Formats: sequence, structure tokens, C-alpha cells
Amino acid sequence: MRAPAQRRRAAWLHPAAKPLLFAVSLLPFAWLFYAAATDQLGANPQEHLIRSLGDWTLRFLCLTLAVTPLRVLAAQPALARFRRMLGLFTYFYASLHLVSYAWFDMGLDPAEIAADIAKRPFILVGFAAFVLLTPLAATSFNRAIRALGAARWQALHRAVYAVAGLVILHFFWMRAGKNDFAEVFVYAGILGVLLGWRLWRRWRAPRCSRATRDSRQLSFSLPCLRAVPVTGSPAGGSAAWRGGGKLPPMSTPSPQLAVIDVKPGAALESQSGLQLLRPRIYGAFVPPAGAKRVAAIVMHPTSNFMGHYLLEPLARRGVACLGLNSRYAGNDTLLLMERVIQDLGAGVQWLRAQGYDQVVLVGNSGGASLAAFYQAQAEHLTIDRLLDGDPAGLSPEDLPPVQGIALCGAHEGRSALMRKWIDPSVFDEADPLSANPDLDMYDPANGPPYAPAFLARFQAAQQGRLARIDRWVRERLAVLRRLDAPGSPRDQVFVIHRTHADPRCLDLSLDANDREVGSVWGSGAAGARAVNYAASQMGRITSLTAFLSQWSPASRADGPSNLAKTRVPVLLHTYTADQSTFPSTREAWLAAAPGRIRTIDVKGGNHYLAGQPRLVEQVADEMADWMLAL
Amino acid sequence: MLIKTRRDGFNHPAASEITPQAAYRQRRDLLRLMAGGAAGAALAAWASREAMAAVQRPGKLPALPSQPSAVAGAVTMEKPTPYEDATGYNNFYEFGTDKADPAQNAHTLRTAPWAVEIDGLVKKPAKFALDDLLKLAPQEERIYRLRCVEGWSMVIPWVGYSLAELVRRVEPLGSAKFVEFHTLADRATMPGIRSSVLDWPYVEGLRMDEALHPLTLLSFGMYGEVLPKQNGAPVRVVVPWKYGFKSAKSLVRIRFTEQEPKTAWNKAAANEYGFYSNVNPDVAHPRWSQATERRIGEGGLFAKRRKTLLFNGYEAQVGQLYAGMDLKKNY
Repeated sequence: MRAPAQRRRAAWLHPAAKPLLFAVSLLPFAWLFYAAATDQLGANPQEHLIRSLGDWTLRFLCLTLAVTPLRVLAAQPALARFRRMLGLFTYFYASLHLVSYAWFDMGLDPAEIAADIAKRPFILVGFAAFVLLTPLAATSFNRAIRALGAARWQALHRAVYAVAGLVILHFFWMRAGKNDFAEVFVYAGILGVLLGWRLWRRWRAPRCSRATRDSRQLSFSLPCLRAVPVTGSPAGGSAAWRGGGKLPPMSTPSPQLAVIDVKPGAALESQSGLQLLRPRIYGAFVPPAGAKRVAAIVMHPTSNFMGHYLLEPLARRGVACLGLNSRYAGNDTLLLMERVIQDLGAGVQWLRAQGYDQVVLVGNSGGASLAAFYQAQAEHLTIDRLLDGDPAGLSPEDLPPVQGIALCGAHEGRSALMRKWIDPSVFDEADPLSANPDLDMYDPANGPPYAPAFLARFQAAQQGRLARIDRWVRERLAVLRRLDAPGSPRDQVFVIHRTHADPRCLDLSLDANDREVGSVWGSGAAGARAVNYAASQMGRITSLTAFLSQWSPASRADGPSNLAKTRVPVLLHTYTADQSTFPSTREAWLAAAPGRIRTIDVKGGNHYLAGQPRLVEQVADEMADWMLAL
Repeated sequence: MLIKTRRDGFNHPAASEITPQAAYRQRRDLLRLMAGGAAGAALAAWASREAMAAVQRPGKLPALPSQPSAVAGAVTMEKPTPYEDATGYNNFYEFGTDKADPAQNAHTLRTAPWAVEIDGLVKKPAKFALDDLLKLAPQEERIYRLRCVEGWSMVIPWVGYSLAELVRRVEPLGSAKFVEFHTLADRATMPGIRSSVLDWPYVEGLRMDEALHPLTLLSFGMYGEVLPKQNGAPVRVVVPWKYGFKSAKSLVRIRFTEQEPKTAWNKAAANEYGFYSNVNPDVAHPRWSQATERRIGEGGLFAKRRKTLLFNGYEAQVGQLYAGMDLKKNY
């Protein structure tokens, strides 16, 4: 199941790679310590020690700064796991460099050190570099990233570029007396390339997607992928995406196909070899009428949103709009929410590369919890492993934070839905027809209306079933992960029958709003029941890891709890005739963002605003106004 | 009772026990003679035995026999720097700027045949073959402190004679005010020449009175042997009261001039390296203090820096050369 990952499994993915690097990084220290103890530091041991430690500081700084370019150019995201250690070794050698200067050269005499710093500007410069490096070392652990928030943490850690400049100046000035700059130029050249690459990457042609550049993993020399206009192209009639349908008025922007390369996942996520070799996601991009001001992404973990009803209405109002599909469009069997936010991040980077600094997420339906999950991780990246323990491979630069979240018809998240929708009457997981009548909401004997006692029993049984499945998934996963024969599976799929049993679909007095009886996928009681028994429905076929990521009580992708972790303004449109979001849903969202959430009820709106074009225009009006005022 | 009290202070011993004035004066004269090098042959041999014992011949290069120097201040009693440090930690930019470079690269230097051209304002310009220079005056051993402008120092037992011996031989004209020293600049054998660190050839210079001072040494050896190549073989000057770079190595030319020579480091950074460059703890280098120095080979990692002495401790001998001069201005 992990063919691509195993094929590319490099030495640095070995569990011993990190301890090995640690040991190797200690070698210069060990040698200097040994040489000092055995009097092998040469004629001027103090000078030799101080300079060697300075040299090693510089070398580790170069190595640290080389990690990101190497990671991107070689498309080996796993290299990122060495960056922190190398950075800390830079600080380690810098500290020893400073201490040995102060001790062996200055005899730890503060007055002499002060006089020396005043006399020798290069020492001041070196000291400044050390001081600047200190907060970076002090905030290198995960909790600091969380406490600072990814954006601020990243901004702080950009100080390393200034450190590089100061260090080179320190070295240059130190060698100036001898007019001997050969070595200085070598290091300045290395650092110049490493920092220049970053600049180049930042200022490269704005139409190129950064996500594209991140994915040069297979040495395809494809040109950078752009948003390709497809309307009016000769082939446009059949396969290409047709924007608007009707002839658009002059001012209506034409939709374009956005093709965005993304990082490959860890598991086989597609049956398409092409998609595996070069993972790509697709979106429909509608440029704004008028100037570039703000861009919105409308995205769902698994639904195809390239035809979303808000794309053109928002674009007409001046908001560039990208209806983006994740790599799991139409396939939630293997869906990992931790990968979906990576795809969303690629979309955000793509928009930024198009020149949109202001980006807003539109979280519609199941996209709501995705937006909240994304922004929470973008602001404070806390996930470094998937729930099965595999590395998540997320890094702060994959997830640039956005400036706002607009929610509409917003579900609380896949795990919350499963908790409330799973049918507790199933008593044989292998038999889709098994039903305990005492717990069957579709049995007219139980309602509607449903008695509170039934509901209490029903809900407890829902949690019970979900907990049983969750336990089984974890046991099963443990069994698989213990297999050690080469080629053993790491995951498997299984079936969860009957996942559409929400008493609110039938009993309109529960969590009352303007809805009709039935489900968003089928009208009337029979429609809802049919969905419950359908062969393809929410979470029906799922892998163990996808279950943990999406449906398990342990899923980290729920909406309101993630929204509470964000700091951006939020707009919430509640469609009052929605059969899947309710007043309690609205309350959950409102409670998550007190003081920064604006709430608007869209009277009579159904879940898809299907057949309600005026309501679509109303929502677009309010959303666009709110976005353009951000 | 033999209990001495403070009151016994004026109780002098018998007059017969006091050494006669003539006798103790004679003993002091003897000491003075010994110090002045004018003692008898036996004493000189005894003294030289002591001096030689201080410096063990490393046995790496041909011996260069010498007598202990009689020049005042020419033999410090400080412990000589270990030979491997004195020959492994050098500044000789013709062979690279790193301290270890000269020891590694200088083997390419060809020291035979070797000649030194004497020209400029002299009555008898000449080209001296090395052998003739070696025999020009008796070789003396002088143990000098060496202070590098970079803030480290050594103690080196040099072998050579006062440069003044050579200067007198070529009879400078009255107009000659300065002496210029040229180091070999051979692109083929000196890899450092390819870099533009300095303007080659390396040129140093002294005022005529400095060049004639008996402490200014024309050196052919160290540690009882001929000079190692990285230390400026086969012949160099050593000016112990000036920063080390004033003591030009591997000399091929000595020129007498009326104008102050344009010296290599002065040309590279005039504000940092003056013509005089006398060791002076009170005149800081623009970029670092000169108040202290690191004595190479002394006490390992935890050794403290030493205080630097005015004129590198040779003030008694050379101070009068600079009487009335502002040493801060004439750095």
C-alpha cells in the first residue's frame, strides 16, 4: 500500500538517521575537546579553539540554511526533520565560540570584554549575531511554535537571514586585517546562493504557483503551470470546463482552469498512476471584475467544488474566486484531512503567487470544518504526526494563514456528523440489514416524534457503535503495523453500513428551523432512510487511517473547536431551511469565535440554495462586502 | 644570651669580619667583566656552556655554530619557545596566509645558490654570496623576544651577527638615511605570491640608526641550526623591539636610500601599520589592543596573556633612538 513512499524511501527516512546526524554533528566538538585535553591544538591553542568553533558555527549555519532549498529542489520533504537539529547545533557551536573567546582570550573579565568589543567592531557584530540567534534557539521546540503561532514564529525565525549577514560581516572584518578573503568569499558565496535562492523563489514570475515549484520531485521539466483559460478553446465544447454556461456579459470574468501541483502523500491515494507520479489538484479560477484585491477559495475535502454556485457571483463583485478540489475529490475512502489542508495550502500559495495578498476561505457545508482546521494549523502548526503515528510532513510554509473565513451551510465536521448520524441499530457490522428495532429511528414505532428517553438511548448507542468501530480500527491497525514481512500492508479498507440516521431529519421539532422532512440527499422520511441504506454514502468504505483522520472521535478536523483556535474574522451564513445544519450548529460556531464572528441568517435557504438564485445573490453580496472590507 | 632584639640593630660584628672594600670591588668587577663578555676564555666557555644548555639543538637541519652574544640585552633568560611552535606557527605570506601554511609550503624555496645584492647609496655596492655573508663576522647566539603585531609572542634563539657589521663593510654614503630590505618574490616557488594580499616583493625598512643598532640582527640560523625555510632561510633580519613583520625574511636585496622606504604593510594599510611599528602597549592597533600578548607554547589553553612591554622590553637598549619622538604619531 505504500509503494511510492517505499520506492523513494531514502536513507534519511531511516529511524537511525536523526541520532546518526546528532552523533556526526558532535564530532567536531568531540575532536576539539580531545585535542584540548591532550594539548594537540597547536602553537596557539586559544586561537585555534576559538577559530575552529567559529568555523563550525558558520558551517552549521550553511547546513541549516541548505535544508529548505535541498528539500524543495530534491523534493524530499522529509529532510525538513533535520533542520531544527542543525539549527540548534549552529547555536551550540556559536555558544562555545563565544564562551571560549570570553574565557580563554579575555580571562572572563567583563571590563576587558567590553573594551575589546568597543575596540573591535567585528566582535560586536559577531556578538550581535549570537544575540539574534538566541531567541531562535529558545523557540525551536514545538510548544513555542504553537504559543507564538506559525506566522509569528516563522517571521521571528527569518531573523536567521540577518544572522547569516552578520556572521559573514564578522568573518570578513576579522580577515580584513590580512586582506585575505578567499575563505570569506567561499562562505559568503554559499550563503549568498542559499539566501538568493529564497529571494528568487519569492520574486519569481508571479503567475507561477509556488506549489508547482515545490513539487519538482520527478525531474519532469514541465514549464510552470499556470491558470489555463479554457473557455473558447477549440476543445472546450466537450471536455474542458465551461464557465457560466451562457454567454457571459462583457464584465463577467471568464473562468480558467487552475492546475496546481502538490506534494505527494505517504500512501496510495489514487488508482491513477499519473496522479501518483505527479500529484495535482485542479480548480476553477474566476478572476475578479476590476482590480486584484482579495481572493477566496471555495473548497470541500471530497466534493467537486469547481462548479460551486458562489464562484462567479463573488468574482462579479470583485473577489477573485478559486473553486478548488482536493486530491480526494470523489473519494473519501482514503481521505486524510491532514493532506487536504496541504492541498488547500497549495491553493492559498497559488493565489498569493497570482498577486493576492488577501485570501479568504469560503467554508461551505463540509468545507467549513476544513477551513477552520486549515486556519488553526496555519496559525499554530501542531500536527507533526498522523493519528497512526506516521509523520504528517506538514511544515509551516505549506500552510500560509489566510485573512478570514466565510462559512455558509456549515457542518461542524466529519467526525461530528458521524457521531450524530451513525445508525445505532446495526448489530451486525457485516450485515447492512441488521437492525435492532429498539434503536431504529426509521421504525415508525419509535417516532417521529421521538421521546426523550428514546433519543437518550439512541444517542448513547450511537456513541457506543462509533466507539466500537474506533477500537476495532486501532486494534486492526496495530495488527497490520506489527507485520514485518517485506510488502506487508499498512492499511486496509472496511465498510461502515448505515451512516445516515439523524432523528432531526424526521422530527422537525428537534433543533427546529424552516426545513422539510428528509435529508439533503433524499426528500421525505423514505428519502432519508434510502440514504442510510445506500451503497455509497458518507464514510461507507473507508481505510483505517482515513477513518481515524475523518470519522473517529479522535479526528482533529472538527470545525468549531478548530475555529476557536484561530484569530481571524469570521462570517457565518446560516441557511434556515437547511436539512443538515441547525440552530445548534449555528450556536456551536458562534461560541467558537466570540467577538469576531458576524452571523447572518439566510431565510428559507436550503443546504445547496438549490433553485434559490436570489438567495445566492444575497449571500454573494454580503460575503463580497465583508471580504472587501477586511 | 644570644637573643636578638630590635635594639641589637646597632651591634655591629667585629671589624675584621667585614669584607675589605678592595676585595668586594674586585668581585663586582669580575661580574661586570663576565656580563660584558670580556671575561677570560675559561669563563666564556663556562658561560657559553650555560647558554647552550638553555637551547637544545633540534637536530633537524645542519648546525650553525655560534658564540653567545656579548651585546647588551641580546640574551634574555626567558624560556625559548618550543622549536615545533617556532617553526610551525609562522607568518610568511609568500607561502600562504594561514599560520600553518609556511611550514607546509616553504619546502619549495631554493636557498642555494643564494646571493644578496647590496646597492643604493653606498660606496661599495656588491653582490654577496651566502657563504661570504656567513663568514663576514663571527656568528653569535642571541635569544630575543619576538612580538607579532597580531598579539602573540615567542622567544627565539637566533644565530647571526649585528647588521651593522655588513653596513660598515659597504660604506654607506652620507646621504643614505634609510635601509630597505627586499624579500625574494619568486612566483614559481612561492604560492602566496599569486594572491594580491600584499604588493610583492615584500619590502621592509629601517632608519639608518636603527639598522646600525647592535641589537639589529642579520640572522642565518635559530636553535643552533641554519634557518628553516618557513622562518626566512637562508638570511633575514631580526629587529627585536619592533613588531615581527618589520623583520624581513629570505633577503635578496639590501638598498640604502635617502627616502623613507615604502614598506609592504604600510602600503597595504598605512593607518594600521606605520613605518616604525615599535612594540608599544600604549599605542593600540586601530582594530585591537596591543596591551597584552599571548606567549606561544606557554601553559596551554588556560594560560593567561602577558603584559606587553614598551619596545618589547628593549627600552634600555633602544629607547634613546626615539628620544623626543611622539610614539603615538610615529607608530
